[in-house]
Amino acid sequence: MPYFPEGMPVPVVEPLTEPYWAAARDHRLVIQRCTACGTYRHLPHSLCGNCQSADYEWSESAGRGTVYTYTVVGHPVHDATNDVVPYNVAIVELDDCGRVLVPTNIVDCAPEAMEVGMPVVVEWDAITDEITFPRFRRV
Amino acid sequence: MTTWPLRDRTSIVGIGETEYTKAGRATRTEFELACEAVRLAVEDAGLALSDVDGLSIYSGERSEPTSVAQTLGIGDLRFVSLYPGGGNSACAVVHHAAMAVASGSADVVVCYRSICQGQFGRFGRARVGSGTARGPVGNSVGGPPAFTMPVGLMSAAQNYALEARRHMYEYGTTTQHFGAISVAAYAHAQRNPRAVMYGRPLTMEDHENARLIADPYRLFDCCQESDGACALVVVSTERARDLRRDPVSIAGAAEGLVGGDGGDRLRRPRELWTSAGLAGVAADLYARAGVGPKDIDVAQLYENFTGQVLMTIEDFGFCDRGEGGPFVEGGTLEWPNGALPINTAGGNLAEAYIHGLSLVHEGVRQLRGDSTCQVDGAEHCLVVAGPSAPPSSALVLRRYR
Repeated sequence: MPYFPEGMPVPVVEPLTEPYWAAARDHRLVIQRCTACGTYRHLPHSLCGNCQSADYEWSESAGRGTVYTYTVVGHPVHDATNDVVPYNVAIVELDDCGRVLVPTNIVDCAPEAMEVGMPVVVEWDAITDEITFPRFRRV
Repeated sequence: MTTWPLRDRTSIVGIGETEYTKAGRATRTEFELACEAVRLAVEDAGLALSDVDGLSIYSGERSEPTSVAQTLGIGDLRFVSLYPGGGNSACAVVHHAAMAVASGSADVVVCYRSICQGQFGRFGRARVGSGTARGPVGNSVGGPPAFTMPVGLMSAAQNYALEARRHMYEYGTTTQHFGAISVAAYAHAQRNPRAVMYGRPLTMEDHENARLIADPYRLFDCCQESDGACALVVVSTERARDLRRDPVSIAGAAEGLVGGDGGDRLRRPRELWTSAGLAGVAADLYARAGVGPKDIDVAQLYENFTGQVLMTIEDFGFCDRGEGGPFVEGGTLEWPNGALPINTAGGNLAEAYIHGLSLVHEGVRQLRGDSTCQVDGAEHCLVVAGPSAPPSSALVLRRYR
């Protein structure tokens, strides 16, 4: 069952992000990596912020990381979240992709159990036929 | 280092404000309020609208400078400037006005902001884009929001809460430390009849028990949503001496961002997660004004959210990095006895949220001796625009002498 109810905004697949969403459908978390200087980057961009190269590859992550910071949303600002507050939002630092941070949610985790530094692992959430979204779970 | 050539060369000589209300309570249009604020500021200066030859505004200003100028009968315009972003611009528009006047490109520049969230959509709802130029979220999202909206990261409060939580983790900061900023602002607003929260005092207990917005932020950690407009007039200090009011000198002005900060918050250097991103602006500002934190008698610090004010206090050197929490304990920020009274009209939290420009107005009142929480003998007021919202900006205002 999807983490959020129907009505939440759904990502549009765009030329830049098509490989990301294709991998996600296969339950693979991929992150852009500059092939000129090796710097990882996320969210996706066409140019490297370190060396400005337009050459990159999609590098597969093992999907493990730690919570860098988080919030628990109590006040819904979008109608689709009216019935799911309080829900958490976490920023996860991946173990194997440089210093990349991934915005996500921690599934099956009560608000009071949220902690900075908590180890987590990716878990896949099929929102639509086209979009599968990476959430994370405590390990 | 050579002295900044603009130091004290220009002054704020007039301020104008409309009535400030909660979002949705304005009885006139946002445009009418803009025109009224500009007219009042020019009147306060003792100038005529036909004397105005420059306008300095910020992104998302819906009251277009051409329409305002035409409606008010402003004559030939020689200078118009538009700064990017939102509340980050509140001091930058004054910086640009000062540069235009000091360079001789214009003689009388008016900065203004009119914002009626009740007429054009509230900032607190989920939106895409930035500043007042943002729009509602559709059923599908592309670009960077494709990765943030579907996790429910949809509002400013939620984004800034992430930084506040990280500051708590790294430095042991508490929600009571954030509360000290709210309590000070509300206390000051009780003396300011123009404040929206006049007659609505706030205790630390109220702060801690308020409804959760985005942990660690509760209701009173968040700026208000307001309707209103304000404007101010910048001329050369030489000309200012002949005008109606005692001028307030622009001792220093600075703007910009720390390298690596930017629109994509996830890509910032790690140290910027627990800072307001204003360390560079602070260094430039103090050098330009020829003052340091010890010379600041009173400060107006933009509150988008309270944690960001705490980080601003650190960036501007009132305490060491990470020491903002202990620094604000014990009434430090409260007039009349605190060492650093802030937001003495109530600020964005309790006076009104006019996208920060109203904070410059309170700085001017302090140095004219007109504040409802007047700091005795105030010589220097620091004004800081939106924290953690690059490129941001700040001013040191100096009393006329």
